[in-house]
Amino acid sequence: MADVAQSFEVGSGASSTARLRHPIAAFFHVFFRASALVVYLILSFFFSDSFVELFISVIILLAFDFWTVKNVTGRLLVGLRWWNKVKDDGSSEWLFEAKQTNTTYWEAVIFWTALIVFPALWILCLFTAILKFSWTWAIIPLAGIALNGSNLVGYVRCKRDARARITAMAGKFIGRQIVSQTLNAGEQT
Amino acid sequence: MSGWKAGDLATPTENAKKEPSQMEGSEEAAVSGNIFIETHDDEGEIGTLDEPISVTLARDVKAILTKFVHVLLPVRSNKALLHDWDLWGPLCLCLTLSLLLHGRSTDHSDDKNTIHFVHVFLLVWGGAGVVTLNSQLLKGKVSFFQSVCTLGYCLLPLTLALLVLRILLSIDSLTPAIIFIKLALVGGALTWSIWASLGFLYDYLAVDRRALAIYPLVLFYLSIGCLIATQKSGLF
Repeated sequence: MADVAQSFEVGSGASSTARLRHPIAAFFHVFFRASALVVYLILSFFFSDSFVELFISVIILLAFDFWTVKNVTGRLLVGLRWWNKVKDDGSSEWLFEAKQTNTTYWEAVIFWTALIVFPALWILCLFTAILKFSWTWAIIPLAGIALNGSNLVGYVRCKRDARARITAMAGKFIGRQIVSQTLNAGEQT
Repeated sequence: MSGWKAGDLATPTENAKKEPSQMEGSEEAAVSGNIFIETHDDEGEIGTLDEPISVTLARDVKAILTKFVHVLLPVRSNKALLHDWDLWGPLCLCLTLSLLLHGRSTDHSDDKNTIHFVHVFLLVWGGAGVVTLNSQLLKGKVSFFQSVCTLGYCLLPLTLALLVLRILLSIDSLTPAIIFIKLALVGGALTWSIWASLGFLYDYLAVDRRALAIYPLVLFYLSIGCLIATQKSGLF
């Protein structure tokens, strides 16, 4: 029932007092992907000798970011989560979970901004690497685009799905309420 | 399912027909609260949006460890790797493999070195991708990531062989018998890897084109096996 209470709090304007309900989640949402990019930029400019160490650390940071954003920060910050499940015949199926309760304005802003900005920055890095003709260096931005981009795609689809279903559910709810009211009226008489 | 109350809004028949959506206690909650939450796994567990982070972490770690165990003890009927895929195992194995193969020469500033590391990395992912694509073009009933996940996890025997080999080489790399040990080790690991991956994938390959799908798979593991077999220097 805590969710119901939370949803009422949001409704009554508690979101303006508590700007960040999950400051740690918000921090790590940005931290892993930002540090991956920073490590890549700094080391590629200053320590281009240590490619292997750089490569491993960036890939690991990106993987941590992927896991954190997909599994933790998405549901804490905006109440969304996406899954990819494979059916028995080999076709994959997207599953989306969503709820509307514990979203504050700033958490949503942080979440979506970081989600969109970082893949864009990795694309920029990719172009820079290609222009420098350093093919081995281009692999890191490619990994960044793949890992950050898949989260972006997942959450955009999740959001779209949630919105569509809210509309559908609202319609259904009103219809069902009319039915239940008429049924109740019928029982009472 | 915490807040389910019978006779909520919908009639029981409607409830049964619905998706496992979560209707919290009151009518208002149905509008502003948890309108829908889908199941995500086979246990019928509903809603993962409110679970503590430790639960999420524990579930994923457990899934990864289970998969590693299944690769080491392949049972034909087991489809654990295919049910829910992840790429953590392949990533760890791929990085370990590239790192161990890369350490061949001690000179780190050598440009050949970095190329080598990247080559192994690309060989693992590119190879797994191509093998998967091939099996899909041959109408295998396995999704892309399932197959990449399986192929990646099944690198475990080869990675372990490389680790053992490098430890052995660092103890004594001059014995003439080392070549036989090397061949036995790599051959055994190769067989193990292929056997394990086929144990998971065999039933999903198109029946009349199995050989065509298995051939590149064998080639994939064989190429990595060759890289391991040419290993000459020790770990320390």
